Amino acid sequence: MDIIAQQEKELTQYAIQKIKSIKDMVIYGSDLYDDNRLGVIAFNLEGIHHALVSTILSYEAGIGVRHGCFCAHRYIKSLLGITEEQSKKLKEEIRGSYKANLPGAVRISFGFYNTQEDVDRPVEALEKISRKEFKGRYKLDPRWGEYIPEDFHFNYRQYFDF
Amino acid sequence: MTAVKTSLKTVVSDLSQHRKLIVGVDRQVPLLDGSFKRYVHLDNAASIPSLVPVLNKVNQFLEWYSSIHRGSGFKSLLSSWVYDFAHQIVGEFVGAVALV
Repeated sequence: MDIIAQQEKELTQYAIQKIKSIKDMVIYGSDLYDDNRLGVIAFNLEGIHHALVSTILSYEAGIGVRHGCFCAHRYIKSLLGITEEQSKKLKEEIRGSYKANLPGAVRISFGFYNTQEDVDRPVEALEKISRKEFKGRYKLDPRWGEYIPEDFHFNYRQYFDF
Repeated sequence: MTAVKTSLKTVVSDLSQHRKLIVGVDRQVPLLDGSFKRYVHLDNAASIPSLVPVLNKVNQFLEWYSSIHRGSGFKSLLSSWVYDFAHQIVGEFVGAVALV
């Protein structure tokens, strides 16, 4: 267990240092050297929707992350400075199945098997995204609050079928 | 009993070998441009891939699988014991304190 904890600390600090150097990057929580920080890093690229960032990471870099509120809606609300008024409006929208304006962040979290290369891959991709260098054209699906490519979809049957 | 514990210990004491123990760790996934890349999974806080010894143990167990803490047949009794024992092993590994 101690070996796993030590490795997680090292990888987290390595990731924080790399991620904070990306243009327009906002890291939530400490971005300083912190021995107690867990291997979970939430962030946003200013000016780019969190859902779009995570879609591009998947479709153009083969990286699986999560975006949104991570089942911590109240905390995200306070982190992002969402007012009660905005919150009320958002609740109304969600009730009407309109999720285009959902606030949130992008999150990466480590397992004990992740390597430095697993950090370098998203860092490289995020640098490109921050310079708006991505290939695909994506549209927002307001029902889910997710971005999808405009004229492309994966054929899942090719990879797994019943 | 001890066999399960030993294999868990072996898994974690040798971290240089640990990637080999993850099911599907080097899986190539498709990208928008038609090319493929090794998948980098960075959502482990939500869901972590299985370990090979766990996969094998679960497969081995499925022949015995039945309702946990409900049925009175042998398979149920065995399954309940396995379920509780598995929790105990994991609890000891992470240093959990029993509440009951």
